Amino acid sequence: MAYGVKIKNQNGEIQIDGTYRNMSLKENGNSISVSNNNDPNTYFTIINITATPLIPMILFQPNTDYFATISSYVKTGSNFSSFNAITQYNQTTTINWKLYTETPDLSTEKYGLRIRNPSNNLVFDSGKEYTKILDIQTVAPVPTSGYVDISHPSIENPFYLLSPIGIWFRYTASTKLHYYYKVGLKKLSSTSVRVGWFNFLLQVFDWGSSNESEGFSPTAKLVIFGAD
Amino acid sequence: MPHGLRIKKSNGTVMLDVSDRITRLRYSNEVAANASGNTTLDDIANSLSVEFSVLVSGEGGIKAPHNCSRNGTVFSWTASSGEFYVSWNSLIFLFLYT
Repeated sequence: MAYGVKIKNQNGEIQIDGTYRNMSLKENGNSISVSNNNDPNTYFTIINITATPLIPMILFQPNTDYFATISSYVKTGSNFSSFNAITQYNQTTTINWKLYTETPDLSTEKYGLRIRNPSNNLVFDSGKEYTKILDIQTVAPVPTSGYVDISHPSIENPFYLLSPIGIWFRYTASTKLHYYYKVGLKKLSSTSVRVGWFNFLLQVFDWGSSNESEGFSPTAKLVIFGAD
Repeated sequence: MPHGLRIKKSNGTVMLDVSDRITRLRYSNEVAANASGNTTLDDIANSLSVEFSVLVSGEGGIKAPHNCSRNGTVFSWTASSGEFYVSWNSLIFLFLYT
């Protein structure tokens, strides 16, 4: 007979299942500057985290001024050590971010609830802050200037995760301009966000007489998480 | 009477409520550039999930992450590349939230 714990919410959805580990808050940053100098080697901002072998999930809140996106996670050896954030070329913005991992260690709480799985790994600790999915939207803005505005009137100031991040390249022979685009987020209000393509790198050099335009433009998921 | 777990801070702030859907990590993997694949996860049949991917150490150049999807109990990841962009290593996730 199977044993263990399974806790469901009032809609019958499982909150804790005693096997798979819930994701809890490990680290966060507020009003972190993200700048782009339009240099092909350093256009992105490296945000360092406390190195961890646990797989991170990083959520963020964009600002209202420019698009931003979390483009990649960086590993040093077997540890995740930083992530890269990008905004529009020659611009600076700020983001708030939260990093979640499987719960690696006990909270400092003296009272509450702790659940471990059969492997003795901590599944849940009531002293931790857990990710709460409030909504999931699918978005497919059209390259290279398209955007989709997402409204979530009942959700104030959430954190977001966008995946996968589209990327596009365009070359205009007449001007010798090389445009590089990604998909990111820009805050519209506390209850809405814009998902759209933005130009993160603009270079000028002769690359032939043919115009080119190609990239990866998947239908993406915008996952909206509770802020606390 | 509602059921589920409600957790409050000592000041009364609700940290987790009986209607909340919190995420449980079911599957994750680091997959190589240009490699597509799938895995069958029989136990997710009756659960909603969200799947996503992110580049690993992927700045510089024009690099595309994998595209993840789920069909029934099969979780798939697909590499994408073209003339002007390349597939790159990705971290892929499947989270359960019901």
